[in-house]
Amino acid sequence: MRLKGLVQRTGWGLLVTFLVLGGIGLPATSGPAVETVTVGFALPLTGAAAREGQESLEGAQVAVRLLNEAGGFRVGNRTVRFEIVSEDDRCTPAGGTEAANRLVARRVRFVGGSFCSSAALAEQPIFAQAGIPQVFYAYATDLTGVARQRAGANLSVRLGPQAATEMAPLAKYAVTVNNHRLFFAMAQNTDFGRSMVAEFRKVLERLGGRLVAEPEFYTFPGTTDFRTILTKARGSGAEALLAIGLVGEMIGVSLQFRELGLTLGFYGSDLLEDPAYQDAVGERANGFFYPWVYDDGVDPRRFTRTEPERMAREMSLTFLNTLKKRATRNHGWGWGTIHLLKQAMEREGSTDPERVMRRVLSGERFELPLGNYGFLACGQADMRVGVASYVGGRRTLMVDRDFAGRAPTVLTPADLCPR
Amino acid sequence: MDVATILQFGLNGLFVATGYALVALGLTLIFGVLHIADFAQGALYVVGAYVSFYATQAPGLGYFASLPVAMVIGAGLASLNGAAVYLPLQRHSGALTFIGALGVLLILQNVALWLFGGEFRLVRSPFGDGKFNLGGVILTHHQAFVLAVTACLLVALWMALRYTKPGKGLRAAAQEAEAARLVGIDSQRLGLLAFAVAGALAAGAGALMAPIRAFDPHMGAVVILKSFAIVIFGGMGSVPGALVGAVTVALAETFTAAYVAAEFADLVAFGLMIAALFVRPQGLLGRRPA
Repeated sequence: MRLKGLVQRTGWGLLVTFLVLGGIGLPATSGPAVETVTVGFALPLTGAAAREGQESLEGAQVAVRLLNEAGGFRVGNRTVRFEIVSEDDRCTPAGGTEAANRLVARRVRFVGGSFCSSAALAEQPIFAQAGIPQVFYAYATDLTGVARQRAGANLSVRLGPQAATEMAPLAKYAVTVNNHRLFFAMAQNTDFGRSMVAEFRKVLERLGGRLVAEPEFYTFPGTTDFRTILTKARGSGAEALLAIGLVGEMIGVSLQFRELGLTLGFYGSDLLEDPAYQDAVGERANGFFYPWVYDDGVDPRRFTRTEPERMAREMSLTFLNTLKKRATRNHGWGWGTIHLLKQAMEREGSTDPERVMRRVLSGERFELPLGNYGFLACGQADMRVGVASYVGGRRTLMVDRDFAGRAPTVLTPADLCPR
Repeated sequence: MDVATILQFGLNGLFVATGYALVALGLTLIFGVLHIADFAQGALYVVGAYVSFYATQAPGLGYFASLPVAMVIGAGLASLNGAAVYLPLQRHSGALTFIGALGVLLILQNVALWLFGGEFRLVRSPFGDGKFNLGGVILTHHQAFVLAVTACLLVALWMALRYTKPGKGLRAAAQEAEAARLVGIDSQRLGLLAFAVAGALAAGAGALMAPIRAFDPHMGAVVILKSFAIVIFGGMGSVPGALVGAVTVALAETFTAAYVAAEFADLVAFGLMIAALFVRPQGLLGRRPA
């Protein structure tokens, strides 16, 4: 009996020792060699911004497929692969809330999206509460300001420009290059539209220009006839028009602008570089100005580029070779999210969401489709955009990304992260 | 503001009214005969636009040929929808058709998204960028064409309702369904006819507007909502009411945007609808229920 007890005690002791040792030291060599990280995407997959959302998702899917086909990537001594799940936020606050709750329930580790400001604002507190870092694309200023602070979303970042990033160089170009100082402004009645007009107006007034009337905000979605607003613009005494909307609206505004024979200068958001816009409007967009955010090196330019944007070129070639189509800025959102996470994981040697996002927010620069840049403490991408126009039916880059920072400086990191 | 600007506002409003009128007429016909609020008509507007888009790209067809093609396809789909979904649902409960209509709209929208993708499309107008400049008032050749075709369709519909046997039947059923049944009018068959006419008008409107307004699969939901407000304002089941409603709402929207602010323009349609419900529950030209 005593021998049996000794054997039993020894056996238990060995088992406990094995488990303790295993728990402390062994996983480093015998833990899972491959780790799958699930990234959720909350995007408008149906509704008025469905095309933008689907392209963003496609960008992420292509990036993930290539990474996984290459066997994943190394993070410390493990191989990491990505898995994507997506939910449709319909570009609305209600849709955003539902999509966010579903992604939380699906236990995603990171989130990409939304593309739409109103949806992203609704999603931000939900992801923050669940401790899921969010890489969003929407432009509304508050997403890296008041709303982020209120939500406690300290791990969320905006992958690309905010309203000020786009509108500051555009307003400066209008005043200092084109000598347009009197503007009539129209925009969709959303956080996006209002933020863009407010930021444009701020720089316009700083440089001595002004709006000739209060901005016109039209219903979104649903407005298709802009003739009345444009007729008002025609008789307003303005020298130029600022028009902010999604692609469908911008097609309507541009065509009706030409129909009515308006001779004002025309300024819009970067959605004017969307291929669908170019297809529909064609040469009628000649002389229209807008901020450019994505440069794959193909379009003619009127400056010498000092820093090649390698990731944009890589994404562009991948799309041309595998999908036989030209990549867009929208593809850059999804592709950029995946590559931002990958680079931060590789540098940090961890897939832990908090550590990864601390790395993203460390100020280090990342190589992304919309340029090479880091992130400010408020979560805003510290990136700049240039100004483009259509010349002879072709998108032409007029000034480079450093335009807003040149004298007179109209955009600094402090403008992007107001206290 | 000068006279030309005011006239331009008026012309803009009239043009907006054409799109509303064609869809609202179909809705009011269906409601008059069958008491069904057919939201799926919005999807047929989108179908018309896509038919026009693909027809103009097909060899041998062109924009003008695409109009009757779109109307025939719209009529067929609307009748099929009526026979397969609404009429069976209506046998159980009228309320079910309301849910059914919303369901069909969502299904058709998503089928269109799957088939055609989410991209915005625009049809090339056969008139190019040509326009009339009437003392500073601009009317494009395509807009003039849309106004002319809409006027022809409305006159043809008015004559058909007034002088043909099925047209008289539709009017009778819309005015007094029970009495129409007593005199041997088959309301189910007339209902299918109403669906066909409405589908043709909605798809025709979509095809007419396709060179002017960029469209995607979701465009119909917005069109149908406004058209419904117009039908309620004008009087459900009333053909003249739909016409007067379309013109009134479109002009009110336009002049609100012109003299107040664009953000209040859409409130007008729904504001008028609510006002009509308070003051004249049967709508502007609708008949009070017996």
